[in-house]
Amino acid sequence: MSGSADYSSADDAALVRAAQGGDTAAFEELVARHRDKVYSRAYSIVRNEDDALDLSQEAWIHAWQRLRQFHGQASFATWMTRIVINVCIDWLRQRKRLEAESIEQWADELGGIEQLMPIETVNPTEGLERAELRNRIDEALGQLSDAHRLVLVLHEFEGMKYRQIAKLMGCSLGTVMSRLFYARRRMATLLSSLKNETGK
Amino acid sequence: MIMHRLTNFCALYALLVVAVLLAQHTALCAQDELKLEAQLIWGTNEAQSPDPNHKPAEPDVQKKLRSLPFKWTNYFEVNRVHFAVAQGRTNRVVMSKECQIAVKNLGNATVEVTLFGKGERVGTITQALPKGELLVTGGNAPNLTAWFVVLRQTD
Amino acid sequence: MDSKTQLKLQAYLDGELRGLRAWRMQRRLASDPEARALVAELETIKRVIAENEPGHAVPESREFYWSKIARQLQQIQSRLPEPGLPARQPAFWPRQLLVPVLATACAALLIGLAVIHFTSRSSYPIGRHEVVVAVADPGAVTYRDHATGVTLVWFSYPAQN
Repeated sequence: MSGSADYSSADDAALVRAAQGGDTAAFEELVARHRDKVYSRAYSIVRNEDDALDLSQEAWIHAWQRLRQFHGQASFATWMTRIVINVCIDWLRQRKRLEAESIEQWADELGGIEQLMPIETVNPTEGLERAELRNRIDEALGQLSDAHRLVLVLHEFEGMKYRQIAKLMGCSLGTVMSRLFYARRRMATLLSSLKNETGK
Repeated sequence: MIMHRLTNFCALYALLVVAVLLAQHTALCAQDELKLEAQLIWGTNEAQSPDPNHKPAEPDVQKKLRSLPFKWTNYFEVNRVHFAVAQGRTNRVVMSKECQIAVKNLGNATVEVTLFGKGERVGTITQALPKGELLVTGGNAPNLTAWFVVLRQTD
Repeated sequence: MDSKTQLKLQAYLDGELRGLRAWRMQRRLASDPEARALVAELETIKRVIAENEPGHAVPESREFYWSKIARQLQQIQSRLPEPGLPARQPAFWPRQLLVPVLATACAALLIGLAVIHFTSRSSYPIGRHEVVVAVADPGAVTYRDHATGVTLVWFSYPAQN
């Protein structure tokens, strides 16, 4: 391969092969193509722009160092997403942000003592434009704890099974189930209250 | 000549060290066991336990249980048992007439603990338990109280 | 409805239950309006979230974002040994000393390893991510407090039959 013009029209598999041979220009094209998705996943987990930038770039460095281990078993985008997820989880663990739960969240996980969230019977997102809906979901996600948000991201956006999530997060199956349940119900409550606030 | 003797000496020395270490390792493996203490604790908001045999849990355990996000303010020790489990073996311990635990030593200071309540299996946990750490299992008890089994290594 | 049943209903919704367990939840849904309402809420939220993932674009230009990565890649590559250079040979290395020196080194290594192994025998090797959190039954909730060295496993349901 020669010249960046070739790279822009090459598919991911060809770029990966070139990058595995040490071609950094091919790797740059891969970065350009997938950087938004990788960054977005990091941001969805850590919820801070600067941290998400650093972590996404760290993920790209990891990917470069492990490129020879990629054999096309999944798409390159999926492989990269897994790398950035692992980088983010390591980062959260180092800051003990996956263990420290507030008493209220813990009480909810225990099936709860006094704070039972009423079931939302009306779809809190009905009638919203797509962009507005995404904004509200984003705002609600920001109000969850790191651990609850992470379980939601891994299950709803990455399509992981309970066991995969438990292994990744280093917690029990029961904890995954409780956190997912709490996160979903909390999202329903948050989206409903956001709807009530804006009168829409 | 001197080099030849030196070579032989070093080789013999290395063999001797290996033999001694192997013997020691084998002996130690046979004795490798975990010395454990299990406490059955009752959590409540009552100032006194209705059972006069219960005593307040030791201060260190109370402090650690109070650091957990529970609403109970008082913890009473119902029973305390010291026991040992050899590596690869399981020891079943009676904590009370309704509560038993089976502890298996998985090696490397890791235990597999199965709890039994009223003769029925409640659940199983596998956990590394280095010295100084506590493994606390718990569940609801009648009248808005709770039971705990606190497990730790002892000397 | 207790928390155990709620979690089972969620697991049923997520396709995590099989066979008899799934059938039991189906039956529960058919006969329990509260269960149906809960599953309906979970299903709605699940669908809405999954179909509307917020996206975030990198707030930097392509060149700037790449420049930081490129700098780190250069540093990595500069740390690697250059290919093609022969390994340095020691100035003087008599063969006659090779065997006794190696034998002594092996013995010293074994002694060192043994000292480390036997003195740390009763403690758990703390890895980079510290003590492994308890692996517990489904339905149990784990909580770990690193500061006090306490791992809590809470069983939120009574003993099974």
